[in-house]
Amino acid sequence: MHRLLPALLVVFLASLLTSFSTAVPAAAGPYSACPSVAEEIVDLEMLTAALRETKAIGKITKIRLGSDIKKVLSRLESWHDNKSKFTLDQLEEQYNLLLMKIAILIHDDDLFLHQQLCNAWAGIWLDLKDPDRFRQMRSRKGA
Amino acid sequence: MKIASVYITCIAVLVFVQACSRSSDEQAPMVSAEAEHAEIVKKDLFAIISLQGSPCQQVVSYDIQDELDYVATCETGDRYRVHVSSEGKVHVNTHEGNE
Repeated sequence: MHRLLPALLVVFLASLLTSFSTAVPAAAGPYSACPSVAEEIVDLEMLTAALRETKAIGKITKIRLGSDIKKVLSRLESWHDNKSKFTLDQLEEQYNLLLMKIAILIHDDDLFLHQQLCNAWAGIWLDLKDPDRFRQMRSRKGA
Repeated sequence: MKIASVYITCIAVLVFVQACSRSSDEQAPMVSAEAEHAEIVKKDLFAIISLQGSPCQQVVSYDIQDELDYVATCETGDRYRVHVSSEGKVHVNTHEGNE
């Protein structure tokens, strides 16, 4: 019996560890399980171009969305120039809400673009908050 | 002589008023940034709720539950949970929970 004790202890600990790892589900945060897409949207320019093309959004809504995107970009530009009254967290929240508006507009009528948006959501923000990548994007737009 | 003193008084009053308004402008952004941000969030939540087709005339307040997860309260008292799923879909559901 004494010889079996260490082996039993190992089995008990192993079963305890596996039960813990299966009991705690992996965190499923927003846009953490986006369906994979053949063509990915990698930046805001691609997203705005895709939004211009989609038939899921009416002309007037497209103009409004364009204006909303410009506002968020202008606030980010101020932040990069150290002139913003908003914090980066607030700007991220404003960006997320803008993308939520876009997502709800396209989900039913352009599922492919919605899936592209889901995949691009976090990456575009990383571009926007990075000073170098943001300036590159602005200079490409200005050129 | 009297006219000159009236002119000087007017100019002094103008300079004083301008200085006061400038100092209040300088202080304003610090106070109003939070409020302005909250207004932007309320407007966007209202737009999302309306786009989904739920009745709401105006979002008067909101609570943040989690990342991209809000409970918005409309003028009528109706409350909606607005959140983004792991697949990136935006859901707007009637919220029955307590304050």
